Amino acid sequence: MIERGRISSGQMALILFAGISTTGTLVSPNMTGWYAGRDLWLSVLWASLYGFVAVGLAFRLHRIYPGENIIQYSPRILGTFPGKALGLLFLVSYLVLVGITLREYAEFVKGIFLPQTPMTVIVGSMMLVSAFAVKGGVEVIVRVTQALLPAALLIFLVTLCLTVQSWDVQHLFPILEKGIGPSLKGSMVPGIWFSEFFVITFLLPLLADPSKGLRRGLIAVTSVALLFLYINLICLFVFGMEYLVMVYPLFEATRYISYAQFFEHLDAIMLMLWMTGIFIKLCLVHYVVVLGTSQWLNLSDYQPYSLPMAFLAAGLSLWVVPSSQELYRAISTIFPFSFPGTNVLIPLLLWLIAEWRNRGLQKGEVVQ
Amino acid sequence: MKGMILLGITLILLLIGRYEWWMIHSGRRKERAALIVLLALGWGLAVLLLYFPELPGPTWLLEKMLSPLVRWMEGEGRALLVLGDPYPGGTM
Repeated sequence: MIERGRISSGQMALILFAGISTTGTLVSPNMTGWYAGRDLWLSVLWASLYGFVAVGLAFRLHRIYPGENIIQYSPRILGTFPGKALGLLFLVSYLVLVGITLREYAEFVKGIFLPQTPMTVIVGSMMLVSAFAVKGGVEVIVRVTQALLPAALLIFLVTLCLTVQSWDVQHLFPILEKGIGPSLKGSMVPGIWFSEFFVITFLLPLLADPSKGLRRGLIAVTSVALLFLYINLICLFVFGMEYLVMVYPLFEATRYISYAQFFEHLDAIMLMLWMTGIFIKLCLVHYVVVLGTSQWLNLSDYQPYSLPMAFLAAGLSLWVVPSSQELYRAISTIFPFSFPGTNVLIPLLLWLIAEWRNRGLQKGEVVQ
Repeated sequence: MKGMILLGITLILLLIGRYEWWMIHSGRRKERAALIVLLALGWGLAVLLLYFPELPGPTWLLEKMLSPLVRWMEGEGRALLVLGDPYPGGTM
């Protein structure tokens, strides 16, 4: 095994929580709202099902092939050539995810804070830091998460609570005005983030206490669902349906915070917290790509490929969509199919094939 | 100008390559080959984007593959079409 580091299941839950929720809190409320309108908070509940299914599938597959991730067991399930092709599909999709995350971050920073800075500088500096963290291995990434996340999350939640002065709970009603349909359609947007929980397949083999993996994974899904519910409700309470014209409604909501004409301009703090989270997300997904590529090619080490892959990802982030409008259009129309497709549908088929091929065997035996 | 950027890209990749090359044991030929291929991919993509910035990207390909589903989603999100400038409030 080329990764010698070990993490605990609690650390796994922490990094999944940070890695998945960050970009979602930034852009998901208004994209969900385009379909779900006032019921966007219900959409989160439906969408969390993707997360539970993805974690469950990763865990079941890991139980059949202990100590392996999808790159390693897909050739054993499907045969060498189709299995390797599937592995490549996953690697490319995660590399594109790194690019998309970088682009979301760059569009946010460029659009609001640094309009004059070239995008290559914003993207390149963030990717360089993440690449060095990945070079340090999984233990470095979880330590960074443990150091940064608790404080960042606490400040994030407290800051959001401060918007309470502009809340109007009446915006919530009428619930289910047009039936359950809009909220179900809206659930496809947060579904993008919940389906990303399938990256747990790369973390399960690294656990020092694998028996707790499933429970902690499900706790991570639940906490992301609760966080999304919280932020969607805040957007709705503060703006009513007006959040639909804002790309970053949560960020706008924090700009409304003002106590005694003194305690205001908290948006800069929010940017800091989001940068922390996006850094963790980039580390997680970039690590998955680098580790997966080395395993796919049966190499002995993954560290040397972190920097070259980071360069590729930075290039991809500039290439993946032509403009910010196209990015948000893609998040609301294309990714709701592509992400759950690769991260939930394909693993489901893979698991069914694995169960069918291993039927009638004793526990612990697997078809090679 | 483009020549300078090209030179810069090549220099960055050469630096990465030089740094990582010595990190891999000289007996490991496959590992070194993989490094060169990755660097070449990065260089190729950067150069392509430098000279053809309008090159259709992965999202374009996905949209073509999933076009009926995308049309169905687009029909639902009408607010999408009226939203012009993503950040009408301007900059800070």
